[in-house]
Amino acid sequence: MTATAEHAGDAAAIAASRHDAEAFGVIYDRYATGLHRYAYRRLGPQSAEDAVAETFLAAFRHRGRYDLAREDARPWLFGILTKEIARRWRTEQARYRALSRAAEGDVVEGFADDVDAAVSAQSARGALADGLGRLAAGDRDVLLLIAWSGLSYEEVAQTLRIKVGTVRSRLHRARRKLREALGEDTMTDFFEVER
Amino acid sequence: MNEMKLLDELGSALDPAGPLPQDLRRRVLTGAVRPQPLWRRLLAGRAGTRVAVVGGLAAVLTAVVLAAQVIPIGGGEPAAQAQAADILAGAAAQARLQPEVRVRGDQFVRVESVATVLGMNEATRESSTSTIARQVWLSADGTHDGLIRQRPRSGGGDWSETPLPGCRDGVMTQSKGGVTGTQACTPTPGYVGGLPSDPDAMLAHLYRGVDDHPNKNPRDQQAFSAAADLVDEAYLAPASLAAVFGAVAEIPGVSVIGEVTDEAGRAGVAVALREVQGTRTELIFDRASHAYLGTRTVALQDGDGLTAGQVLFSSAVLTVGIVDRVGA
Repeated sequence: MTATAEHAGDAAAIAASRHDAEAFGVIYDRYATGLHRYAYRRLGPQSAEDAVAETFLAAFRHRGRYDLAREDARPWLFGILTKEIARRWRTEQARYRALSRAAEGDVVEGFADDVDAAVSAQSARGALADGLGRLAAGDRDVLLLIAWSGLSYEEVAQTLRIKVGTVRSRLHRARRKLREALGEDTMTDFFEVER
Repeated sequence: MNEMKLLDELGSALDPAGPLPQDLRRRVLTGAVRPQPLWRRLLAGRAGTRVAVVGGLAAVLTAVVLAAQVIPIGGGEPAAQAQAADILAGAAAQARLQPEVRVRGDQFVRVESVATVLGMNEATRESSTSTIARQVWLSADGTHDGLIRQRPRSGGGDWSETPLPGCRDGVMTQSKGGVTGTQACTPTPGYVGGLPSDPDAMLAHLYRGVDDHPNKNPRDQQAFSAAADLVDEAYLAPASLAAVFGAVAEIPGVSVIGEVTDEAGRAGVAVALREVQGTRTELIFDRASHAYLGTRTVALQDGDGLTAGQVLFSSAVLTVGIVDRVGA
């Protein structure tokens, strides 16, 4: 993987932070928003904030182990965040249940009001949230990292420390289960997925 | 509809409404860079705005783990509560004997104290205990530059100074390592005038503060914490100080813990409230006169790297005064 300019210098900042702790602020400023948005989608306001704070504190503690050959720190940070989210699985499950109910009119914290207009399939969203809650944890991590974090297949593989082939097979399985949850014919889309 | 497209839309709908929580950066970076007093972490939700108690915690390490020595006073829970009311009434009477000082906005509240703080370095997860002597000058109206001066009590180290920049015209100027920066702020007055002088009004004032800034702690616990924050390292008008002690007697769950020795070695008696975090915060009063001496927070159970009876924070006030200049 080659580093884009946007992510260049992460390794240098982390290296500097080993001697000058405050240099770590650069890493926070670059990635806090992205990590927070991802965590917020999965966990909701309060837990997202906690998970992101714990992620950066853990990253700081382990900055000595960061592989300085990696220019882009996102896979490393999303990997830590994934573990922090896993620790909050009850919150995440409760969020999907709430979203599933919200399709029937309940209010969910942090759920924008103006979306109704954008989506014809309000009930599909409930089914989708329900389906997300039922996925195996590893499949859900792959699916949501691909869909929501902006990381590539290769980066997701690095994030979760799995092979790219495993990313593909988990994604495939997760998508199939979501389609089942949405009540679509799983056979119709089967070949589309493989492309 | 394609499930990935649906997922994309669901994600957008779930996005946070505003920018990152402002507090988060400070929370992350101060946690990462500086050891955080453990008691403050455990009691998250307490007002606790009085800046870091310990500046350079790492400078002062001792191997001593303090254990709370308490000699219980006989009697059950109702008796302990009644005794607490007696002690607090005595404390209120003592408070009314204090001189009434007119405080000008450009003056400073000067408090001298000794403290022991258990800290935990977030980066290494190591806890450490420091015993310090401490002097603070708090700007009465919060717009002047104050100061915290601390040194280890043993070993005779030098005073370390932490400036407390005043907040003028909504801006605070901070210097660190030769770099100067400004930050938006609202003044934090070191002297709060106009507080109720009647115990019932003070009690209402404490609970109103709780309801204005709700957190997950029980209301009574928050009210007690608010009272402790009001009297700790502060000057209050005598009638208001008396009202605080009168109000504390009315907070459910407040009871006498027993006879203790305070951080300065004085014979005291502790009135306390048990906190849901498994800790207990004590207000300590002189055993004979019931004058206020200081405060202490003790772990009540093992866990979180603590053992039952361990002192997280202990502070004894030696002198309180109003002065015209910092350093005076």
